[in-house]
Amino acid sequence: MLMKKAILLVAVLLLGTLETNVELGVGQRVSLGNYAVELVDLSGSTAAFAFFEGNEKISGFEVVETGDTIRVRGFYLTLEGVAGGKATVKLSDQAPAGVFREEEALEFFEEHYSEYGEPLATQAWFNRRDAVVVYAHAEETLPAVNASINGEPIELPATTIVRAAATFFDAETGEVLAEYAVN
Amino acid sequence: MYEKLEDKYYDFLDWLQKRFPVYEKIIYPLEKRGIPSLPFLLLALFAAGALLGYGFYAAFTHQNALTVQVLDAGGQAISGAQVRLFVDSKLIETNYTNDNGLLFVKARLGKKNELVIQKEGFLQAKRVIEGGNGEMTVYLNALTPPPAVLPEKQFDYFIASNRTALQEKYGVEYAGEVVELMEELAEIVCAEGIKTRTVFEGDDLRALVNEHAPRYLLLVGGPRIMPFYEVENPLKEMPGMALMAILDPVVPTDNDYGVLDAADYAGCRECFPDVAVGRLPDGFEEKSDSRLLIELLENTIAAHAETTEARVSTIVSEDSYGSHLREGVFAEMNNELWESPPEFAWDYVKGVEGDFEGLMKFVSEPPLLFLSLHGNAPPQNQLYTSSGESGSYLVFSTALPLSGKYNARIIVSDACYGANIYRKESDSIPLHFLENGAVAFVGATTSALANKRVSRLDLIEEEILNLGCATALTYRVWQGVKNGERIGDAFLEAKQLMDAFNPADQLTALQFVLYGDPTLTVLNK
Repeated sequence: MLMKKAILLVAVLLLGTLETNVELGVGQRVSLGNYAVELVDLSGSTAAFAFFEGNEKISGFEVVETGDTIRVRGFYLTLEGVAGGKATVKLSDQAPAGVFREEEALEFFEEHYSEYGEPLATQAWFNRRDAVVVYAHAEETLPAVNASINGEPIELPATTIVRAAATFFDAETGEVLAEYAVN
Repeated sequence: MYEKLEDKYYDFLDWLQKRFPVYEKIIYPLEKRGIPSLPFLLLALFAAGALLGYGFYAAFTHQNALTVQVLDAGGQAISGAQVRLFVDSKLIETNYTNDNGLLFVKARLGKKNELVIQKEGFLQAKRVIEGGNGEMTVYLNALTPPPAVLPEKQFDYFIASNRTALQEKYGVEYAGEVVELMEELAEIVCAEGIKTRTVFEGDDLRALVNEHAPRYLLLVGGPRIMPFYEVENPLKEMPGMALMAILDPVVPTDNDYGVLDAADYAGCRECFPDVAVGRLPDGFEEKSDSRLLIELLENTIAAHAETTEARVSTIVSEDSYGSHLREGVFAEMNNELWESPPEFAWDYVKGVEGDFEGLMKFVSEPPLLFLSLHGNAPPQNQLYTSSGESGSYLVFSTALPLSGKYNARIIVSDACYGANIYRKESDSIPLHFLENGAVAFVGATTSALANKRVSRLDLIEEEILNLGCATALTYRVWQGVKNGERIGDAFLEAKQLMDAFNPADQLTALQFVLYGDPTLTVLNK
């Protein structure tokens, strides 16, 4: 682990870039700067990850297919392969070559979906689907209510509402292909 | 000649000078530099004209030429198929295929071009045009052909339940009452010219549905009596939305009860029931002494003799609002809007009560109600909430001191889990409405998706219906209600608007359920 950190440090000093390539088994975690990624599940050529900033989980699960890159809070995860119960991932603070129209997509999302907060991820599905997806999701916990309405007491336990929106862009032309929001 | 032109030119400038200091601003500065103003302005005018001309040229010639051929599954050409071209969700043109099933389409470069192909007797198909000039072949899914049954032996409507499950949950006497009321309902619907029979567990419902291909099917009882089918969430295959499939791995649906064995729909077979399926639900308790199911049957029987007016009211979450709620079918039904915020029952951020009395009045009064809100997953006590930039608000819950009876006969909701009844009867919003006057409730069993374009574009009806997901489905249901269609017909047609190859549309077609008798028409025609 110390060795890995030392290599990372050297890479940062030399290149000004944070980057690491690792193999992860389910339940294993890798850090990049203040961020960490944990492999949650593997299925076929697909892997599900949980993302952390410090000790705080910033995303429950993100599902990534082999060859795809997902951006979470400014760092990039590319799933390079799945084999033998392990996922090979590359983490970097720099966008890999081939990420199309990322800023344009983020700007559009911010303009129209500001109420969904900071986009959680930009997912670039280059080579295969040629689409960029900007996606924001939050599980909002509504607090318990113990109050009086119209003079009558009400009791509601805390509950969770899922809020999510996704916009799909054509990576080449930038055209908006679809815009969905979870009701 | 030039002098005459120059005279006219200066006359015009004098006239203009009275309204705008044209000499000081344009003519003198030009001529001070030794530039004769008339030739210069003529040149500028010509350049502007040329630019405008190029703009028109660019707009109408930057197109892809595409030959579209429409075929059935057997490869036979379909002539007279309607082909509509939507560019960035706007309807641009409508044309029809020739005798060879062919049509020439000019797609606009740099925009999303979508073709919607329709022909009677087939499911509609959608295709996005990609790339440059070329050819596209579209295969239409034929609607399942009806079985060869003698018309006099054919049943149009089955009312089905499970007597044993009813007895286990409610007792023998209660089950007997339910069966009697089902028979009474069958007689009433028969009198309307729809040949109806009841079906119980001793009969093979699936075989009967396949043998008769009825137009309608009513399931009596919730999932403890007549279980939902469960289908893998199609969003699992949708990049960017796969998380929703982790939250809801399976989608409870009633579609499979109505999909004939002979159905052969490429893309998503179980998305398109051949039979309009409705359900009279009850709570998810294992044992119960509630009278709900009996009351629902009694209300349904009574509803066959009652009508109401075509007037809808909508409660809409701020983040779901769109101008479509004031136009089209909503304008025709004098839609009254309650926007939340500013209206709500409880403010989660400030922890204060809103205009609860006003809310109760708004929900209780209209004959038709559209609840475009957010929802939560069971087994939590069911809530409908709203969201805006300023936070989250409680709009409706059975935990509120509700006033009881509602005038609303039909309620449609696009809320997540809005019609999920894996809850106790007392926690369920659809059951609350059905228990208190409603005769039909349309909603989703899992997280539902809206097409957000409806919130930021001005769209005509055809364009809204082409948006897919819950946006198009709920709109089409309201259209059917307004036109006096039976609610089951409106519901079935709404599902057929979904794109068989789009996971968001597949989810919508699966997750929306109808609680109510599908043969009901509640509006004055």
